[in-house]
Amino acid sequence: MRSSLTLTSICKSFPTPRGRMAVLDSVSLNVGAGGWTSLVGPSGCGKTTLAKIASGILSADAGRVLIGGEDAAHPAAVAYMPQHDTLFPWRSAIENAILSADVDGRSRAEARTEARHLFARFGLSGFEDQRPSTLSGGMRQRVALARTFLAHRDILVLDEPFGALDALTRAGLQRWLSDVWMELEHTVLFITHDVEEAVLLSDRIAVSSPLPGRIRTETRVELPRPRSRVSPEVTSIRAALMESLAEGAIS
Amino acid sequence: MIQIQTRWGGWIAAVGCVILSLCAAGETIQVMLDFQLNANHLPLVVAVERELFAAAGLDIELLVPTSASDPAKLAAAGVVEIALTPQINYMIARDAGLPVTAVGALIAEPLGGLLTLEGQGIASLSELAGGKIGYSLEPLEPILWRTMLEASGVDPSTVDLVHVGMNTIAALLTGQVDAIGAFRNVEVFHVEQRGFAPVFFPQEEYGVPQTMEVIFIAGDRTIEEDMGALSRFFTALREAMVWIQAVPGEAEALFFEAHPELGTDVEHRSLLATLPLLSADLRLGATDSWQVLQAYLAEHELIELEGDDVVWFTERFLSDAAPR
Amino acid sequence: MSGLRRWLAPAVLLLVVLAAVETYLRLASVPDYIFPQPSAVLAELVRTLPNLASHALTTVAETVIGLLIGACAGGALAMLIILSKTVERALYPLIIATQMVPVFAIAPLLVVWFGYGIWSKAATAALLVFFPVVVGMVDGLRSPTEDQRDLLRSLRANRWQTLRLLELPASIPAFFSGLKVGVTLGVVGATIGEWIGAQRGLGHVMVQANALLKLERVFAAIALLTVVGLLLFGLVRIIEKRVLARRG
Repeated sequence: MRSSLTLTSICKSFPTPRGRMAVLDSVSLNVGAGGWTSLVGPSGCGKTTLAKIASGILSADAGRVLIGGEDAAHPAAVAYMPQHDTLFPWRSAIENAILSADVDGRSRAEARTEARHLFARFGLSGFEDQRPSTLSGGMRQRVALARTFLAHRDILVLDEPFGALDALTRAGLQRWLSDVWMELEHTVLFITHDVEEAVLLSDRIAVSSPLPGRIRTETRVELPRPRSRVSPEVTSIRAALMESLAEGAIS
Repeated sequence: MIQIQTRWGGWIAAVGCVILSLCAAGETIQVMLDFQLNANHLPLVVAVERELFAAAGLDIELLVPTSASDPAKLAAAGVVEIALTPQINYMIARDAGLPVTAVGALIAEPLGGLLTLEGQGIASLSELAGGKIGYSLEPLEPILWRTMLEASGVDPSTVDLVHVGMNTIAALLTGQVDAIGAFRNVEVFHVEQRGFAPVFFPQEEYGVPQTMEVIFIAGDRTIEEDMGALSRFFTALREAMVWIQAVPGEAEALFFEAHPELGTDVEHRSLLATLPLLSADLRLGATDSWQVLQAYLAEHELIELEGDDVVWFTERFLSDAAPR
Repeated sequence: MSGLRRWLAPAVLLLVVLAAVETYLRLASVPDYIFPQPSAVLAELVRTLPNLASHALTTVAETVIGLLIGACAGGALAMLIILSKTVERALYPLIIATQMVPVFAIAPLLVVWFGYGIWSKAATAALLVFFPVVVGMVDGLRSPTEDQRDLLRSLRANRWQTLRLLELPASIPAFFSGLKVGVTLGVVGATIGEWIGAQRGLGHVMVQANALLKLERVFAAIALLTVVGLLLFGLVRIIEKRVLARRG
């Protein structure tokens, strides 16, 4: 059974030349075990900061991060996928995917075997030994996702994984990721600026306000999967969220 | 309006100064030294400081060379009017076709030889067999030192001649070599100053022909176009020599007052050792000493010129009478 | 054939330049002891090629050893610098200072440590090689993006793992950039080292020929030195291509 991820009253500010700037103002968020929560908001509202705090890369000024109900300490329990494809250009696709094995000290051979299976599932068969520079954007994201899954952590924090892709590729990957997740049941915190994407993929959607980031609304999405972007339910939830976002922008 | 006047005024004044200084100055003679300024150049410094050159209507510039072959090259090219160089270097340059001629001598004696330390137990050159000699000037020095070894009955092939660059003292004092090629009025004192006892073997006592350590040369075209400046140059220099011989103590003081940066212990002693070696009459020696040296250099393949018809020098600028 | 064609352009340019120089020297009647005519240099080169080539080998050996030492030292220093800000602040000015010291000033020290053989020349070469390597490699070690570092942080990688898995592989292109600059400086360094005291090598030939006023030989040695520099530079480039191809 996967662990849950709970963020309680997270505050974070950064020093700037003009004094301290508050980026997160008492943000609380919960991702149930095996659940999928998306955080939606305009660019620059601190979503990446929150993702990093959840992943243990940054520490919050105040508030707590709980994993499985307990304070998140060290062993990394979270697999973090940064916003930009961070494949190492000198490693082949499969070597990039098994990066966590090198850090954890796990057997490379075993990791490779596992990666090969995952590559097959991810439609990357035959591309194991290719360098990232020869792969398309969509394929690179899939390799990065494979890497994230192969880190053997319960919780995935994905920061706008499809942001840099074209609409067609994005649509395809959204459906594919949803399928994979339904099978593997990780706890997922998903950051995106694309409301439609959030509605298609999540159990819960939190909408954040512009700086300093606060959660304006939380919505449950209890529609069955797979979801269609043209279905009326999806459309209406999407509209409601867009309105909420617009209000946030004005106020 | 006023600004423009000031600017033009400044230019006119500047041009005026240049013209005036050109008129005021005498003929400029650039003299390229053989080395950095050192005690060997005492007569030149004296002539400058006592304004003997100025009185002769000459404006003297002393220049320092970047390499040992610069004096010959630049004199041949007419870039400098006079240059200082060792006699052997001059002969090699002439042999290579440079249009230069020797016109006077500053130091008509040899200064070179082999230097070793007393503690090494080398009382005679024969004990250098199987040892190492350090030197800095290719290809000349190896030839000289091999001649000295042969004259002492040592087979030169048993002695390792090592090129050690400019810092021969360091090589000797750190024991890297058993002996070095050195000047009797320089390295000898460096060694003493560091608390060692030097043992010096003068090259002319061991089979090396008599050479003149520092001579004046001039480009052939400079000589052709000379309008009396060269004679006046040497006249002034001879006056300096006379004065130095009369009051050597004052000469020493004058040198170091003009060049305090050279005022080291070693340099003082070097100057005193050089005094008796200066060529008071600046003459270039008998022709046959040149022939002997020519034969020696030819034998050791440093030059190719042969025969008695080579005119190595001219003394026509050295007489007290008017030039030409 | 494409290999030969690649050399056609620079060869033609070189010939044009040499022809221009030769023409100028002849027309202006520049004496050969001031500057030798390219034709005389070529004649000397052809005449004494075996001798010059053997001197060239000595200089090459000195340069290659110096290159290896300088590259290793530069790499090690670069790693020390990025591991600690204090070390960087302390070391960097000193490293720059080493480049300001002219070789003749430290020559006696080098001789005491290394003698007059091949090692003192390798030392002067290494001295000039290590600086561009340090600078290049430090930049290379700092080149990974913040996201890449965040990735490793999220995996709880320690400092050594970050160095081994991220910074070192990322620094390889920059290392080679530095090395390419370094190799040409290394040739110069070895040559200067020969002026300190040497029996062999192209620098030694230059000094000796200059003393004898055989300028065509000086320039023949320079021409060969240029060839040496080009060859070594090309060698580093080939190694760079191989490494980068394997690495990706």
